Amino acid sequence: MTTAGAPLHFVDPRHFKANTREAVDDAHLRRSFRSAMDFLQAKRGAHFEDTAAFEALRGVGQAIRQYSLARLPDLLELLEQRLTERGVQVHWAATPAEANAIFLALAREHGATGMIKGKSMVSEEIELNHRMAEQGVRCLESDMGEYIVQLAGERPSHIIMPAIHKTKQQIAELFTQHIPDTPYTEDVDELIATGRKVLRNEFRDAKIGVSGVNFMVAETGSLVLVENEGNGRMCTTVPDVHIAITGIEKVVQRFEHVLPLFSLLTRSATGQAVTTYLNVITGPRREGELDGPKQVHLILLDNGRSQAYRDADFRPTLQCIRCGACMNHCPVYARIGGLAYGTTYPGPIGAIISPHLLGLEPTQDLPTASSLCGACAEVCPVGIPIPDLLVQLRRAARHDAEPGHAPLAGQASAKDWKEAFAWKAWAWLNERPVLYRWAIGLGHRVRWLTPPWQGGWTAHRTPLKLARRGLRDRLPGRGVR
Amino acid sequence: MPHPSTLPDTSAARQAILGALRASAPAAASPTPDLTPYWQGPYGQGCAGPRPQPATLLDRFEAAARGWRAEVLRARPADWPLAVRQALDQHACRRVAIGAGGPMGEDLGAALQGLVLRRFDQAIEHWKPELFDHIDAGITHTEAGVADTGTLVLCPGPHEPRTLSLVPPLHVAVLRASRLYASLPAAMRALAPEADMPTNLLLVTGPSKTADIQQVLAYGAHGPKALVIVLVDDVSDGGLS
Repeated sequence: MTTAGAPLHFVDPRHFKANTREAVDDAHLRRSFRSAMDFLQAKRGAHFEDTAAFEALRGVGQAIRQYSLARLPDLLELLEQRLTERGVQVHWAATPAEANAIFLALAREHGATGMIKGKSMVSEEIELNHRMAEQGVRCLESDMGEYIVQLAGERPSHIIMPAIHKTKQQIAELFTQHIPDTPYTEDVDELIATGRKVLRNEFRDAKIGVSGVNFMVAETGSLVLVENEGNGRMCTTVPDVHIAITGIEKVVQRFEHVLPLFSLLTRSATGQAVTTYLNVITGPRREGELDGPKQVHLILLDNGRSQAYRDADFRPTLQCIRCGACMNHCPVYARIGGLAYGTTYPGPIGAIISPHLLGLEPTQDLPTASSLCGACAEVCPVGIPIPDLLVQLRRAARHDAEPGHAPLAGQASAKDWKEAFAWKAWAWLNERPVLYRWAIGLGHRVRWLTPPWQGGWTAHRTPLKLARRGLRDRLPGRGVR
Repeated sequence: MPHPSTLPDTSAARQAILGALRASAPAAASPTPDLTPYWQGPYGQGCAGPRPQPATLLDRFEAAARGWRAEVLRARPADWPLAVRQALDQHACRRVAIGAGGPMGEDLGAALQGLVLRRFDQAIEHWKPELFDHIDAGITHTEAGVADTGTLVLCPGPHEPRTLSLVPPLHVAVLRASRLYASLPAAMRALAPEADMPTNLLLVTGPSKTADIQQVLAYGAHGPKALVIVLVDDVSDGGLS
């Protein structure tokens, strides 16, 4: 029925520069993204016309996220305790492999050959679908966008609207190809009705439902899910077993902390004052209740988050509530789309979180995918200083860690030894005025030796060449001493 | 056949993660977040000062709910079952599920004459296929309503299970106007669910929807295709105003 387990059109973040070229040459893709970004920007903008009100709300959201992170280890322990009291089984995973091992063990324990999934970017992060397929366990996406992306054997290109790069014609073809007895139609209502029909049977029959989590409440031991479609409710209510997976940073202390973040999340993400559902789950089915899962499991994934946490400079990265506003407003993302990044999280947030998840070596080019225009920071609902973090990561990619800072995974992996040597030599020369004057004088005399090709510089610019006479020599002639 | 438990022991990962976080957590206590600007701003209406009279919120609630494509039928305390029937007839529903022993079963009985009434009185696994494939509508009561956004607050439980408002294609929700609050935080501060969190606390705004295909809004993604709110006016003197 589906192509879960088919080869992923895998894009490597190491080939980011080549990927971007391919992406900007795709007129079709650019049109899709341009119109989608305009749409999402306008929808968000309509909610935050009163900038003072936005700033006030953002201040609250930022304070909640910073407070939660400052107390993160305490809150995680409290969360675990309350979840356990409510009958939720809590598992910890330092790496994607550990998380997948837990999923597989749960599938085996329940004799399940498949799982039905609600939207979860963390499950993308661990490549759950493909790791399970290798073991004969079929994971089926049930969010309409994720379902489409899975049928196509692709990755989501946007964290909120995964199939944003697909046209309805492409989706119509996918459905005709993969779903039996489905005639070709470009009518969106009919396409959605087809998806609904197929997935409804899957919800009914699945033993295990998988979901992500938007917020966790430590004091009450609650998992909070935000959605429009109802597939999240299905996955967390109908199957016998519910497995939730999320990153360790998603916890807040009190239930009242969820509400301002919810107000910020839905308005920033899709320009909605509220989503259709806000689903607060506290434990499995209790005595006397007639539905809901009999077991609830929560997998808390680190996967590099503790590295971002370690350094106060990078910690704000973890304030993120995954609204996607930064990508919707990023001029680079709007032109190249989400797939070119080759990472689970694309766009500005992807460029600042991926180096912690994957190391700086494969992701060193991502922080350079920004003109530092600041649009991302302007719209971020929790006040993450994204441009500052991009600059810090650029520095970390090219230089050794500064004293007092532990090196990041892949620190200095983009270090260019020739460039480092050139700067060192330049500094050395500057400390020796006589030699400096002589060397510069020599440079002016042999300017005809300047190479016409100067690496990346001349790809888009005219070559750098010393002038016939230096500024130092010209100034006295103009009466400047 | 289920296998014996072979779940990996994740306590080593737990120790490593918490240890790493503890080693770098800031030593200084950070101030408790101040939510006052949220409560006093446009997103927290009704949090500061006295609670607005529910009677003043009916029109706003109805307009907001309709904005999310919910249908709203107003009714008097005496005749709301007829409004439920009207909604069911309009949507051509024949087989209807309600909670067993819920607050509304007896009142509804007479109004639903001629329809097949199914009480949700056994665990879902005993009648999943019927619930999924043969029930046209689920009827529930509503804990509270939010005027600002047209949102319903539901606390499903033994008397009204979670799937009642999720699986049938039509959800009919009965809301008493006396339970209207101005905004979401106002409703939550009044209900204070965190004191004893139910297994499931749910906010519902409009029918299920998606814009995942070219940003075209389509209703009835996976949850109910339609939501009818029967708004029972138990606060105005004349009932229907």
